[in-house]
Parts: sequence; C-alpha cells; structure tokens
Amino acid sequence: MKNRIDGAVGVEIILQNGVSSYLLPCSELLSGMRILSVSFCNSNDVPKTPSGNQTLLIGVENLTLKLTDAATKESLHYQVSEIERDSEQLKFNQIIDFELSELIVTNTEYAEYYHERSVYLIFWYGTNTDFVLPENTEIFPLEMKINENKNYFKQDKYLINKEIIQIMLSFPGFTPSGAETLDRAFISNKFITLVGKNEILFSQIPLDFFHLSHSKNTFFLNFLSVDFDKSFIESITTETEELKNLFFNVVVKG
Amino acid sequence: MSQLIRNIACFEMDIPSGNHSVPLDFVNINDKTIQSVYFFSSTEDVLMFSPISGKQITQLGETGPFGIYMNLYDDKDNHFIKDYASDNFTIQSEMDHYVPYVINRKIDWEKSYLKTIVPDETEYLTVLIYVLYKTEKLNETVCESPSTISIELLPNEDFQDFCLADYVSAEININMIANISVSKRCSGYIDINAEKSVLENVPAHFFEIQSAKGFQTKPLKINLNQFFYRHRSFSREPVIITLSYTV
Repeated sequence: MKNRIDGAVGVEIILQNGVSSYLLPCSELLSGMRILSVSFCNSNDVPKTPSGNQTLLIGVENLTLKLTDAATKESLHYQVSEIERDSEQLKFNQIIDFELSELIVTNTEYAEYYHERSVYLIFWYGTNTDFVLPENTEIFPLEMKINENKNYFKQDKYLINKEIIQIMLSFPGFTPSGAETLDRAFISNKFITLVGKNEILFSQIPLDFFHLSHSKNTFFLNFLSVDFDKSFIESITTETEELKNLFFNVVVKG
Repeated sequence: MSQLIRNIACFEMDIPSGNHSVPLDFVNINDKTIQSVYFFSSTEDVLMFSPISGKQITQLGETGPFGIYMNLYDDKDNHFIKDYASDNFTIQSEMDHYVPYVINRKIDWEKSYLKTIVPDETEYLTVLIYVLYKTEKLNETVCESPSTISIELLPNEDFQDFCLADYVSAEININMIANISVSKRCSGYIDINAEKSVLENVPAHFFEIQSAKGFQTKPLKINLNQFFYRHRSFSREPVIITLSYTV
C-alpha cells in the first residue's frame, strides 16, 4: 500500500436464504471518507465476525461488490474473490455512496451455504499519495493482557501526543516484562478498535491485519494520534489458554 | 519502495540462555549515520552457516520461544528504539517477513543493547546482525542503458568462496554495477568492497526479495576482484548472480 491510512471500518453483511442483494450497512464512520482499499476476510483468517456469526465458508466466487461513486453516481462491480486479503488488493480512490452500493449474490443455487453466513469486509480510508518510507522514526513497545471479551490498552507515556506511523503486532515467546504471549493460533477471533482524540479511527479490524511483518503490502498510518486508553481489543472467546499477553511495537515520527 | 543500501556491516553474536541485557558495544560504527539494523536467521529449509565463524545460524522462527528486543540510544542520549521485537527486523533465509524501517541517526552503541529472554533449556543462539549505514556519496555516472550479465556458480562444498572475476571474461569491462539480483534459495553471502561502499557478507537472499520490501544497492564502482560469493550451506543448488552494469 503506497497510501497513508487514516482508518478502517469492518462491515458485516449477514446473508439470508433467497435474498440476492444487500445494501451495505451505511456506517457513519465511513461517511465522506476517501476509500483507498477494500479487504475481504475469508473464513480461514476470520472464522467468526465480532458479532460471533460464522463467516462464509465457500461460494465467494458468487459474490459481487457494487460500489457507487458519491460524486458521479457511477457504479463499478468487483468480484469479491478478487479482493480476498493477501492477494493484491483492489485499489480505489473515491468517496462511496453507501446507500447506492450493495453486495450481490450472483448465483443462489446453493443457498444453504449462504444462509445466516456473514460476509466481513474492511473498508480502508485515507489519503492517496506516493509514500516514502519515513526517516527518523522512533519505536516504542505496547503490551496488553487479554483478560476478558473487551480489553483496553493502557496509554504509555512514550506515546502521548505522538504521530503514529505503524502499529505492529508480533509474536515473541515472551514480552519484555517476561510474560508469556498469546499463540498466533488464537489471533483469528480478535478485533481491534483504535480511537483518536474524539473519533473512532479503526473499528473492529481483525487483529491479524496488524501483523505487519507477514504483510506483503505493509500499510502506513497517516501520522495518527491514538488515545490508547479508549482503544481496545475484542475477543470472541476467552478460553484459559487465550488469557495471555499481546505485544505491539508502535512506530512514531521522531 | 525498495530500501537503498550503500554500506552494510556484518556482525555475529551469540545470545546466551536466560534473561540478559546483551550490550551492542561491539558494533563500532560510531561516526556514521545508521539507516537500519536487521537480524538474519536460517530457516528449516535453508540452513546456513555464519560467514564469520562457520557456526550454524540459529533458526529464530517467527513465533519462537524467545523474546529478543532491540534497544537503541542515539548520540544525543535519546532512547528512541525501545523494546523492538526481533521478528519485525529479522530477515529469514527464504522469506520477506519483516518490516522495513529507516532511523537515520548516529547511534551510541556503548549504551545500546538487546534485551533477551531465552529459555534455559535452549542452547545459545547465533545470529547475524546487519547494520546499514551511509557514507560519502560516490559521483555516480548516469547509467542510461546498463548491460546485464548472469554468472552461474556451482557449489560443491559446504564452505566455498567464489571470486566473480574468475567467472567473467576479461573482455567484459564492468565499471559500475547498477543492480544485483540472485536466483531463488541462494544460500550464501555477497561480499563486496567497492569504491566508497562496503557490503560485508550480505545474505544473497537480500537481493532475491522481489516484493516492495526488497533491497537495492546504490550504484557501485567496483573491481570484480573485490566481489565474492561465499557459499555457506549444505545446498548444492546452482547459484545465478545477475548484474546490471555499465562499462
């Protein structure tokens, strides 16, 4: 991703028997935002959405995303199978009219595979610009213990009033404090919400998107100010083996 | 968005088991602006030996049972990299699972250290540390249409050094190298002493990475007698080094 990301919003569409088109839930968080990219969460990476509903297992090839440009009202159709994450994501650079955009099921022959299954899309928004790897960066740690379904970060003094460029999840065996870390196998049911000064920047994004070392298209944040005291990670389950620590590094402008 | 490199210094380090603060004072590059610091590690499929001691490079893995964190102070006493987890800056011998970054500062290596947590049942870890740094710019000639040459090397020993001058016809006059690329699973190191640039035992894998995370050298004014490929593995796969050059 060459662009600078201001935020991202997870959007869930629950499919129903006999229904072939779905208006995209018009999140207020996306209103007026310049959409740069869309990711589709497949059932391997995200078996369940934050609501706890199972994601679509098969039949992605029968899904089409119709996105309507807010200014021109022109609609473009995209195969959802083409925007599966970890492939080269489709690039957009437009403000979307969500009331005129929809998800279309093009083949309802195997409706039983779709019924009550969720499609989870991530809409990334920000500034379309050629991005140069920032110099003079500083890097700080950020640690969190998973204790319950909703877990808040603790703002570290190093991160107050800093312009954040990257937040990187990693999986060392132990955190710097010596605590055991969560196994990567338990990451697929966790979602991160990051809050700015007065607004939600990232809403319910699968945590694995922040495992940047594994990403082909490492993304950069648009020098964001994040209030970690208000930011949190949701975990769909909290089995005993999940009650461990998560470790991040935060890259800020020096 | 490849990372441009002019100089790379290579250091080998043993990390003992237990909890330690391991000083980085052996990195004696005090007067140069540092671009980045990376680790290099073997993988199960591409085991490699150190070009310095010949010891096997540890497979750090991406979710291994260790905690290794880099702590760097700059020359103004700012602790500007604090507990940076090694899996973000470890380049493994066949993958590009790391995060490129640039720090652009002079480092106080006497104060800088690694925080390491290694289970007692583990033997010491051997890692290679690569420090990318800047030096005076070369007066680079504009290279409008470089020629390309591919050199095939056939390792038949675990430890084998190839001087590229021995594999290029004397009639080909290579003056400036614009780019280096290597074939896949190239399990050795490229060692170059060029005018105003030193690339010291750089894993050939660095030049194999094709994604946006890859590395590219600044133009190198070079004598091929000072360009070595140092094979350090059990692999007997042929190695192909491709150079774009001007005469």
